[in-house]
Amino acid sequence: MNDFRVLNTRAPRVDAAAKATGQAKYADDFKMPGMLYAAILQSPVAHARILHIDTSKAKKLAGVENVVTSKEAGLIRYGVSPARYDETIFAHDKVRYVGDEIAAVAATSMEIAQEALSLIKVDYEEIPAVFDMFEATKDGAPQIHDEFPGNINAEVHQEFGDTEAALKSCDLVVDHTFLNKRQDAAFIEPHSCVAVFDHAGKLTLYTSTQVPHYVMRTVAMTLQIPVGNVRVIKPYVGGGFGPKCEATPLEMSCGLLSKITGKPVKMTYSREQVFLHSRARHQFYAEMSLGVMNDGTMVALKNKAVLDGGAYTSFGIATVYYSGSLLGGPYKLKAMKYDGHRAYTNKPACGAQRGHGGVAHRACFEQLIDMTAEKIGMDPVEMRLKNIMTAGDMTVNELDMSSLGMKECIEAIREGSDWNNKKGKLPKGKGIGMACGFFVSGAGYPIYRSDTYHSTVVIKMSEDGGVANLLTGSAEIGQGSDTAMAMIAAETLGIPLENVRVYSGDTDYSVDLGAYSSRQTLMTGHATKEAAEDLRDKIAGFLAEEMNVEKSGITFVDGIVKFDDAPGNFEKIRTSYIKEHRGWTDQPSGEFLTFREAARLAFLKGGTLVGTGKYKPHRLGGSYKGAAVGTSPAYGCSAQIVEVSVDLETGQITVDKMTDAHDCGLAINKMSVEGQMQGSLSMGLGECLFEEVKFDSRGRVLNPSLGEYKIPTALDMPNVRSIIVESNEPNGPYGAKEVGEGAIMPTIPAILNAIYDATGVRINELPVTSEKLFMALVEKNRIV
Amino acid sequence: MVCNNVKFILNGYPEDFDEPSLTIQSLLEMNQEDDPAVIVELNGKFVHRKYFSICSVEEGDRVEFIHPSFGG
Repeated sequence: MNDFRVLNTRAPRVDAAAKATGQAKYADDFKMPGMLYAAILQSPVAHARILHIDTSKAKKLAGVENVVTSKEAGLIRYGVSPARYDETIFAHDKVRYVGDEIAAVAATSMEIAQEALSLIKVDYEEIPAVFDMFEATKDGAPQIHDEFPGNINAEVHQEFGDTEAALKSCDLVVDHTFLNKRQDAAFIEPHSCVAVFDHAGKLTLYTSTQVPHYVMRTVAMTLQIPVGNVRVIKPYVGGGFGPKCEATPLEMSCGLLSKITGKPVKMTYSREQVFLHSRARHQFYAEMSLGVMNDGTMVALKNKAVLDGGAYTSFGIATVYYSGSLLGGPYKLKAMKYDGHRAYTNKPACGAQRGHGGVAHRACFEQLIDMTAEKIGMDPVEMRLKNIMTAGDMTVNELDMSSLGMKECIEAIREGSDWNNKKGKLPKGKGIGMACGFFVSGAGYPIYRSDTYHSTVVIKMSEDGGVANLLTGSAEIGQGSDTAMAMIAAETLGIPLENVRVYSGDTDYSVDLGAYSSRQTLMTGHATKEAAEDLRDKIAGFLAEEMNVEKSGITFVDGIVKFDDAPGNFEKIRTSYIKEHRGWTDQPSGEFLTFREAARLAFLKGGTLVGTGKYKPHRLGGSYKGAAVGTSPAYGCSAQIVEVSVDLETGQITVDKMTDAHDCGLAINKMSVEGQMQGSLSMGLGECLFEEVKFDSRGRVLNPSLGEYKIPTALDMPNVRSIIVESNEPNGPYGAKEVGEGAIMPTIPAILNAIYDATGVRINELPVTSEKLFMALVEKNRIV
Repeated sequence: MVCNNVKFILNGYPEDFDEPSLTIQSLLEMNQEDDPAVIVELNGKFVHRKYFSICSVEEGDRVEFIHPSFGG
């Protein structure tokens, strides 16, 4: 039981009505007077030098206002990490994948813009291309970026403890490999942007993005506009999942064309262009060895990763880092060695999709744990319970588990799924499997080197005292962050949720790094709490002065004010308020002073009431070797048990039931937490069983549509039991931390472990189609 | 001992030092780099943490300190 009035409840989302009734406006809904339509010309070949671009015929087409190439856009390099700015708005010397952007057109209609694209003549000199991550790093492979010989885009090598010695000391070492396929995030709303460059030289982008702040900075840099003259407004967004975490050629092209034409310019990607832009899940190859003692104690882990990064870096440095670092927990290890590298290939660039670099390697590791448990005759749940960390532990790679409800999650799913009565007792063709995982709750540093606050929030009280207007640059992308911030503000101010209005996703409101790395609940939440406390303190100060009482005795709860838990002598304030509102029919009444009256008094005494809050992770000191900020201020964790049925004649897999427990510290909004858990499960299920972006031998995407690239529907989802575990994170606002990405970590391995339990066949390559499983069953029967 | 002014690039910007030598470890400490996960690249190549104390920065070198935890 807790004393929360607003938090930790099942609150309706603040944006639900707008979305359900169609009032919500997405970027493509925007129409403006004189607006032009833009389209991008993309390369039809995977690797070629650009010899010549002739835009003359396109420019002459009636209705075309402008055509731009790298000549107009310039060659300022950009990317995600400043250490890897390897892209320009348009390709200038060569194209590196089918889909690489070459030019853009702005015209009076979309049809004219598309026709103009067909009139742009590009002379290519095709050069050999490479599409396989292993082939790309062999001697003699076609070189994709001159500055990165051997097509190695990034590599990370880490060792904690003496891994070889530790492995030698083990009773048993088990090896495993794993390969997934490149995936797409399949958000329902394609990228879309409307750019408006006004007469004062200010550029405003209305764009479907997760990160207004980073888009603002990148567009300012590449278009050479002062950063204070670029405003990014995020309208309603129909999903992001990671690929919308960076500025896109669509945004930069629209901005450039608007700057040149002086008119609003809109562009929306087709679904095919979404696939070509990608920035979604990498293909990963994992090779691991786990050393254990006969009693199941884990000792050492050796982990190798090869990533197919596509033609540009995007988030790739972080991806290859996470493939190693996120295996440091949630189990105790004495030693860990990681060697990872990311290769360039002539395919669309991969980026940071939900769970980032942790998903595929977690799948491999959790299968490896099951394999090891089987060899030593131990129940998989018991093996994990034996080795899990607890709050206060530090991982072998120096991640601080300030809170960790891993044990509670495992015990919850064991009981919730009736594991003990099912494991080893199901008929052939039925299986049960489990897995665990964990993820960061915000990144310790911004992507660009800076001491900037990660989140700032402003709460302005309406002058009549009735409504708290919360202004934040954070990004509501469907995950429920606006509702979470409204709930935090309401709880802190002591007012009903309906008295808080959230205005978000606008870089003019405040600095917020955006929706990535599962950061907003913790970081924007902290800033929101601080802003509300600041505002509450100011109102209390004016009240104390007016009523000649101690400020410390004033509390706000449920929209009323208490003075040392009593009503206090507030008649004068009420009388003044009522007289000021002559003619109103909803005059305040009741035994207690209302928050509305108190805030109104504060405005009359002090003017506009504003509370400000800010957050950046706490730094403990300047020593590199110290655990100062670290990878993240907190970590969420998850455990899942999945039950499957396999048709042994066809390999058809049906997921019958999923039991999921996630430690989110404190559930700000229980409904949103469950939604994130179930969304993660559906995404993991799709990646495990259905999803693969396929290419032909020339690097062209074969299935760039949601008709061909299968994602789960409601018909594919089983009954899901979601169990919320709350470990009260000391670094989180009211104890809260992430749920958006940690919950996807166990899904793939839990399904794979269940398939093994049902069939005796261990699949280590995704997706596990019925055909793949059928062939594996045939092979198993043949060998047997 | 003669100290030469050594010019190099750190995180994209020119720096110089007058010490006889400068290791990656010293450079991290001088810059108060406190990310235990920091990735160091020297002339585009990854530098393993175990070599920070013995890897020297030379004239014209390009050094990057990268905070690798982001995205998703």
